[in-house]
Amino acid sequence: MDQGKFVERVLFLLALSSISSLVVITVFIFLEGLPLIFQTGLTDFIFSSHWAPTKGHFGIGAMIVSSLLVTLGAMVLGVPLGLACAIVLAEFSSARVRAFLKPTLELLAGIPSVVYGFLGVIWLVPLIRNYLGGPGLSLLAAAVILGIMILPTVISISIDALTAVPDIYRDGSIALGATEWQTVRRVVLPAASSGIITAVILGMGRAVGETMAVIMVAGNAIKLPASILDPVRTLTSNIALELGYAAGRHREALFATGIVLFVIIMILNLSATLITRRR
Amino acid sequence: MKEYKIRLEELSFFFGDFQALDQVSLEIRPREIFGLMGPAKSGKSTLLRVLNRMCDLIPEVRVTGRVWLDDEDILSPDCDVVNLRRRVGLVLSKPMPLPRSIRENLVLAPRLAGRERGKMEELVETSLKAAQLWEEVKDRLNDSALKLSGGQQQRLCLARTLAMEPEVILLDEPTSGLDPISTAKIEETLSQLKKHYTIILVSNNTKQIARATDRTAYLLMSRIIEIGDTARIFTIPKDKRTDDYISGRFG
Amino acid sequence: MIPRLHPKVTQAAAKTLLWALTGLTLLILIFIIVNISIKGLPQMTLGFLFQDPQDMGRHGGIFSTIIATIYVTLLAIVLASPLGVGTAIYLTEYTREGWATRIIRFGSECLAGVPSIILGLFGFVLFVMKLGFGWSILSGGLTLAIMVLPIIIRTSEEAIKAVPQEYREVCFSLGLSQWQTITRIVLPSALPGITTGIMLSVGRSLGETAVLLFTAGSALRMPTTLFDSGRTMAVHFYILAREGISMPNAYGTAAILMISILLINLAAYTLMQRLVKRYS
Repeated sequence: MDQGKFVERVLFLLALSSISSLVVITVFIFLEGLPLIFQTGLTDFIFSSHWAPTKGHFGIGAMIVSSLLVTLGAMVLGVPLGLACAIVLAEFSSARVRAFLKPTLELLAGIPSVVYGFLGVIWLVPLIRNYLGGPGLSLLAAAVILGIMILPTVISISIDALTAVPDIYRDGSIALGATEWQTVRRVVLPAASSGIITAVILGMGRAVGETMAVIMVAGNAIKLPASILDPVRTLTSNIALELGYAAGRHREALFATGIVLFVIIMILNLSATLITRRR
Repeated sequence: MKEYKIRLEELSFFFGDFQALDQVSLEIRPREIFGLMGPAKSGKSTLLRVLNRMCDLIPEVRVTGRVWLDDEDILSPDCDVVNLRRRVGLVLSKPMPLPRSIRENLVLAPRLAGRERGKMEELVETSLKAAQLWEEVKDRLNDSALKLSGGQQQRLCLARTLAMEPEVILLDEPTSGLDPISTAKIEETLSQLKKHYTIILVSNNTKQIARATDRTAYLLMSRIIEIGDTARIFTIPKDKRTDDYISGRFG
Repeated sequence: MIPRLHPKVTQAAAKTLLWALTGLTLLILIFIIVNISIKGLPQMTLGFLFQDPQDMGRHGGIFSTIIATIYVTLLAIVLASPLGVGTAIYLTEYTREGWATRIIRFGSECLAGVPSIILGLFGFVLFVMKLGFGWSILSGGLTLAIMVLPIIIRTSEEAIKAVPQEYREVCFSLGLSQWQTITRIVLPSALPGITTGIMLSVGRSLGETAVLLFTAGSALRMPTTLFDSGRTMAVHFYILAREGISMPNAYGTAAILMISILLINLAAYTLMQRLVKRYS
């Protein structure tokens, strides 16, 4: 076999093993978790909120709802903030301002999630407790912290989407007498919409999957929240909180929780990919 | 002495559905400068790229016919492409030095081809001299090749091809982006190189073909219209279409 | 009926609002960095850096956690880099766009989206339990490697694609084989971009907690072999803060962690900008 063919095969093997890591993870999580879902029954597992793993009750309904609510809250805060930064950076700032602002905002991505959670506990939780009531550790606190944590994802993908809009569009609109803002709102944003939707979806993925910061500020109570000031436990925190001591069926239940999380993330990723491809 | 260095027999070339060359047959003699002229998209660059199998890099191509380099069929699957490209050097239309020093650009290929290391300095000097670049760069061989001017870069690319000590040199519109002085230098270099190499020059500049080549083929819409001595083609073309092209009435 | 505002007025209002939101984001960032730095930097003495933790981290420094962090990160990078760069080379140089590349690229994107807690879950059961590596540098490094793999694949792919196609043509026309072309010209030209990806991966690894808590464990002893458990800085910080062991030490650890990650990311960003400038 000549050198070229040999190298090609080695590289193919490397690529294959990269991908197989994803396959192995998927297979593994499903093998470990599916039996329990079948025993409990899918509807019971997903819709019941009775979680007492040591007594054989495995219902993660409350956690699914909590995860979704926390994510929704993060979106309400993070998307306008992130989109505003992206629009300012891509449309309304000079090259010099952008050269400073963009790397600065990207620093947000480098701050470890435990640090976000820690500052949430120190600053945000007491604020909520003192001014809004409740225990402070709450759905609201988690949503605010996650809203900040998804900013880098939303900002960078939205900027890419905005800068991908050809300048001819802007020039055409300005030439027709529109103001810069009208141009952005009526021409640039619609043209970049699929990219911005992708940014939002990937931001959601980031929020659903975040663990450490949420554990620290969400309060972790297993019940359906009645208000945004109630403590909640998300799917991710459930795994992280109990993995250390879980055994047997309990551990299987955590894998089953992982399956639900995994499916949510995959649906989000898949729709992001599909939207990007259609563009 | 053999009568040809390269011989094409009914060469056809397809990109997907598009036929870029249609039944082209011609012979190129040793140590001549053979000119290929024709309008854009007439197939001349494609023909050049078949001769050192650079066409392999394009997806979905189909080639029929035969191409002989001396006694070797270069289209056969047994042909050692890497070795073929060392024997048949190609200079591209855009000067494209690699992002290395001048010296590195010249010795990269010979070193990887396993030439003696001791001979490298000599090789650098002779190839630069042959490309008439030596005087301008001899004191800064370790500078980045990207710092040279366009004309110098193109002569460096020629020198780089010469350093491989090929048998045939293919030039694809080598002066298309250059000023008249640089162009004149390249043409002068080619007439010197003719003593040792077989050269094929593709150009859409008919004046350059007339000045620099011994024999010429005129390609139009994937077909050879006329082949002959350059002097004859430019004085008494046999085909009306050739006449139209060289007198600028084309199109 | 609401009177129609003049476009100039709406534009001014919109711009003010957008800039205000951007300013707010910047303020949040500044608040985080300043807060951690002010409380943490005073802790950052040589003793803090170079002494082992004592009494669960209540006293002493964080030396063993720094070492554990370096070990797992190094292991992850050493494992993931050849795999990631090799995959990127295969995707860019050896395959035409088709179903194979699409599957590999989609798989890599999915892998990038897998939450770290799922990786932690996976690493815990496969490496720690089934393969019997226990809570160890090895289990942690292996799982982290899977986590950073997509980062390395993506950045390397972009860097390799940014190398002008003409360079490859020149190399082939000079009789270089494909592999020679890749090793002599393509990879050296793409090196800054690949390095950027590796640096970003280091940044990700330093800050990661969920994965390492369940794979590398939380032993405070100095790890000496691959099979020793090791508590990384991020895990140490999490435990100090969560269990209220020592706020000053928690701040100190956070400051060191944050500053090193920010510096690494900034360096990576600068390197990438230089690469972009070179080819545009």
